[in-house]
Amino acid sequence: MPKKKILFIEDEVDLVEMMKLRLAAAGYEAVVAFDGEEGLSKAKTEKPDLVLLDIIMPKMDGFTVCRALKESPVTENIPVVVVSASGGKNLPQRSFAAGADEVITKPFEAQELLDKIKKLLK
Amino acid sequence: VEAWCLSKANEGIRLLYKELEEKNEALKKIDQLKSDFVSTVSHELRTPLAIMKEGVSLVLDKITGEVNPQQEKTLGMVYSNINRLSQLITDLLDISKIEAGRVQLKKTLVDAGALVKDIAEKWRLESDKKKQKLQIAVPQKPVRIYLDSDKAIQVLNNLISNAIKYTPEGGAINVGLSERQDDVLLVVSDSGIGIASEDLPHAFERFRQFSRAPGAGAKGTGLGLAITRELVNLHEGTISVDSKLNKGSSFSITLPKMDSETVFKQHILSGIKEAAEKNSHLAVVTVKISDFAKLQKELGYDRMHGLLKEIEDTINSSLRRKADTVVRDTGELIVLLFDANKKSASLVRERISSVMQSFLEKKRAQGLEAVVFNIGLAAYPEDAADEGDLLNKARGVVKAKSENA
Repeated sequence: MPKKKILFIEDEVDLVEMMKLRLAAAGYEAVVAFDGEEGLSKAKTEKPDLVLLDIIMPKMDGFTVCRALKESPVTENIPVVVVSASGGKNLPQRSFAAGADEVITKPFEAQELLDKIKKLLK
Repeated sequence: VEAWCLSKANEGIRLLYKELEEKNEALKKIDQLKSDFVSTVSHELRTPLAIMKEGVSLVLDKITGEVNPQQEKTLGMVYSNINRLSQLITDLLDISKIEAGRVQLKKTLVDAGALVKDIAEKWRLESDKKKQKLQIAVPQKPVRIYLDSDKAIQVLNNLISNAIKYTPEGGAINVGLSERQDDVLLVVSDSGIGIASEDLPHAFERFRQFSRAPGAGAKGTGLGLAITRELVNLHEGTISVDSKLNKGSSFSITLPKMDSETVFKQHILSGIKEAAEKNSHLAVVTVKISDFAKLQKELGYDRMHGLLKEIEDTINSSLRRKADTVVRDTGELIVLLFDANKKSASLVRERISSVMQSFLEKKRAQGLEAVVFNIGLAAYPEDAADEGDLLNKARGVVKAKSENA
């Protein structure tokens, strides 16, 4: 079976480096984007099986990216997991309103994130 | 001359008033800045923490290669301290929000007994690890009171985790809830290390960690009990502690029983206050299920309660605005829309009405009899200036039926 492809949209370079290792170790193919705009265009060209999405990013914030993903027929069926450090009570509410499938706050437990990914890729 | 004096005095008052208003504005801005600052700082702190945590766990999970036992132990300590720091940030954010008066309770009718049992059971795994005897005692019949269940869960988690943390292996922890005439009483007690009598009066103050075990063992953030007290106060409840060093501690919380009308009015009143302060609007949308008593008789309490919860969730997920709150009673839901004037509130009402109709259609397809609901709307300050009038105006303005979806 081919590896499932995960697009990680995140502006923190160090976290991206680490998540590449983590996702590879879990048997996924990782592609990355460092801002919202790049993320959106890569979602269309790379056709990932799932998107991990930061919220506070340069150029385009995660909520906007998420709405755009869910509005485009090319990407609307790709599950989106919001991964954000803004721990406000409104984060889940706002993420789900933007069409996200799951939300996890930073700092996260790697296993919890992997479990969410696995569940969505079923 | 008299007229001249009067006009001078008037002018003076006007200037004074203007100055006061300007100062008030400046104060509000500072308050906002302070609160924005705290939330920005917490975001900025969490981001590097997330990187550190993931880095350490990559090594601990041996993804980057073999780790010897001493390295594993050392990194394990780093990992748990990252978690501790992360909890501290969450707590700081919580307490600053409470202090700024930014925490708005979202009370719904909750079976407090089931809630207590549910949350306490989740801690059994932890207490088993320390071979502690965790006993949970709640009344058999439901104890229905108005609570913000997220906040209540936070309070329970705080007290129970403290009890486990500060009780040695093999000790006992009791969690009990009882219903009384005017309130409910929650007691969380343990046979742990206790608090010295001189420290007891300061138990709920911030950063007072006297009862913690020296040396090994989990440490708290020093904010848990302060937050707990604030959350109980917001519920108009009381909290007290009784403790003896090396014998154990017992925390008691009382929460008043309130009728739904009082709860609704409290919510609306605090919304009006906020709107008046900001020179803004507040809209109230009411959704009332007709023939509720009859319906409940047919369906039974649990099913009806479940249905209302589903309706509440349906409405909640249809609301996209930031500060909306929904309060639920047995047969009625009240939605508060902050900063919404009558026009924008009408749009929200339409949306609620349409999601309600499709929801009930779906339910009807599953065999539920036709449910009729009334949906109403009133706005402050357009329709009324006080909470009672606003509620009355909102009730029963427009009628809708689930049949004509």
